[in-house]
Amino acid sequence: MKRRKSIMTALCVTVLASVALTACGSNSTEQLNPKDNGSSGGSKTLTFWRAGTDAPEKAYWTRVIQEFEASHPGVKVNYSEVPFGNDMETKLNAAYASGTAPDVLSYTLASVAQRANLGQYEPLDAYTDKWDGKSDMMESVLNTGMYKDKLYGLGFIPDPRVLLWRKDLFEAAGLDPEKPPASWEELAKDAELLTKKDGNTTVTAGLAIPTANAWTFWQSFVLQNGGKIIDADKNEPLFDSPESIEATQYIVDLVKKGVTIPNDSAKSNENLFPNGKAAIAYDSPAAYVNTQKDHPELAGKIGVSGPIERKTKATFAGMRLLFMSSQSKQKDLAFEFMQTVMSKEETWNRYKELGTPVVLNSLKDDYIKDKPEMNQAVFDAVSYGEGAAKVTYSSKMYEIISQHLEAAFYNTKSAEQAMKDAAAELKKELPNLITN
Amino acid sequence: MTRKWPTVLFSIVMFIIALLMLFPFLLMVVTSLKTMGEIQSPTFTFIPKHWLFDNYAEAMGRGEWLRYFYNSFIVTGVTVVFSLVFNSMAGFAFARLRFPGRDVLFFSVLIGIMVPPQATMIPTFLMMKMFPFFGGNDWQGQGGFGFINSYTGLVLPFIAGSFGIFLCRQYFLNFPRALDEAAQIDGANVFRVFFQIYLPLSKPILATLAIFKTTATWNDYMWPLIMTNTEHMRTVQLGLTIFRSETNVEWNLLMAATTLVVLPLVLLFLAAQKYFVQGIVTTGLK
Repeated sequence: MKRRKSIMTALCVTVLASVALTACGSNSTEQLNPKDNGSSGGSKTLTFWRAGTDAPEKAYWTRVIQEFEASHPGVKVNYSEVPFGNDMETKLNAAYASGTAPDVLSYTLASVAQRANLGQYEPLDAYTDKWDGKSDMMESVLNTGMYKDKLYGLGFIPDPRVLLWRKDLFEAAGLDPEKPPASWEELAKDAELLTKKDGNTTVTAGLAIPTANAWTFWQSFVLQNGGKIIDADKNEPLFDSPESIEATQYIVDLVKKGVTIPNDSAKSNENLFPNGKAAIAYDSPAAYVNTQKDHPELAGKIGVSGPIERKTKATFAGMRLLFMSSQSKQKDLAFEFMQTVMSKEETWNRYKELGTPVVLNSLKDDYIKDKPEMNQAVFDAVSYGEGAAKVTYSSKMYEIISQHLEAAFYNTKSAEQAMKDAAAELKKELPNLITN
Repeated sequence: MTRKWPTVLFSIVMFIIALLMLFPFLLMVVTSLKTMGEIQSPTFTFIPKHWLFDNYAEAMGRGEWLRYFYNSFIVTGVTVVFSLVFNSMAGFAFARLRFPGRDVLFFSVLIGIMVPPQATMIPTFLMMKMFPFFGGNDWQGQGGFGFINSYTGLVLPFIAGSFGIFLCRQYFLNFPRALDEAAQIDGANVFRVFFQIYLPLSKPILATLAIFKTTATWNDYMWPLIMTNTEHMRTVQLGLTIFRSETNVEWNLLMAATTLVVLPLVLLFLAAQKYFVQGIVTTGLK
């Protein structure tokens, strides 16, 4: 009798546990879009994920989505935001593996080759061929979304590197605050003059050079010197070319002269210019805005110009793009959403609300007129900027380059040897890295 | 008088170690009271120049923090309660019952400790997505989203685990066999032995397991990240990402929010530290 009572008690506990968990599940599950392939009873649900979690951009997307839903009765947009980097990668991998990838996503240029190669991004050519807005997009921006002759993403938030300089520190060092360095030679000379040291320790960097994860900074100089990073068709590293070695030598010499403070470009809190620890930097327009926001005393004391031209006009330019998932069950609606974001009106709103550079030729004049002291340089940088190489192994390649640059900075090897070793290491790794 | 010296010296050393342990927390609190300009200033100052308590209000004004805390409390609470029940029962079975295949089964549980959670994350996610009859799924687990973006999905994979079972088993092994025999002579069945004899004597291990489980669940970031898709289902750890953008981190607000997020764990530890230390000592864990 007692045994039966105990068994009954155990069964009751198990049933209660199941009911409690089930209740948790059914009552609290946010409705996604089960079974209806995104539409049921005339209503449709579109899922949109964006990389990044900052509040200003969240406010922007909230407004865009509200307006899109208002102009598309019966459509609901499920919005989700995910931090950049490994977090987004893990979440996307899980989503694609389980068939729950979003219809549209805002993500980085670095993802194009890898995810397009895996068939996770939908080619957009069939949609953009019928879309008027394509001809208005800046050529450089349109090209960032191309991979193997197909368009996979629409660039909408460029992040170019421009030359920023502190006019107050220029003046204090006896330099003309309105005249930024115009050549590599002038840049090196000014950087040395502007560097402040306490004994052997640099306390104000003349030029902010990252000493870890330095590849974006390095790429700007290689490109300016007429060099290339990689031949993507032949998978042939080109960063051991004479142009690349000369650019590397130039950066290494400056680091050895102590014009920078050791810092990691992957750690935003170590970024020298916004922290007020550098006189000159190649940084994003966001750094210009953030520096003045965090240091109100510097308002009007920061200059912006395009990168220095050596053999060619070039700079690094990151890009955020809109992608359509190949798993989307409602691709037409997904492209309508993308079109809305890429429209002239919304591009201008984005500039006004977030300060992001425009990507449409038709907005060039208005954009430059709005803030001529900064926007001309930014627009130019977007026009000739080049982002991360579009190869499936780009993250590994840049990791190798950064490691060898670090070795050259800290005297372990010469600049030439560092680049040759980096190219050799990549060649050795390539058979394991190339995915077709 | 001379006998006191070693005690004093020991106390001084322990005080210094305690200060070192406390320093990161202090740094977090003082950073939460600074301006961004002060944090980024080339000259570091420990004490804030201006005590900016408004940072806390501003941090909590960003995002739905009440909802994040609510979600974290629900997920942590349910996970801890269920894990205490399942882990202690399994631990008891492995320690005190004799049944065929017990040791092989326990060995397979131990293997679970050796597999890193990163390796099982995607398979577990797929299991949650394809759970039959839930979240729009049919009997084959197709057609819907299963437990994705639900409390069940956040709780279910963590209500039993190798570590908890191992911890409880080690504790239950310490009891004398005579205790079971006496209970059997008195006519108690196995459930009664567990619930009326072993469980009341297991407060230290249950408190220890509760603290471990609470800390792990409350601090978990990656699982809620891939399992939830909407703001409404976010937990506090995901809420902290609000203060980080691609190019900038608002350290003062991040530290203010982190201080508040850490607070429940600190209070829990202070309340249960007596049992916690006792549990660790008894199971021989270090």
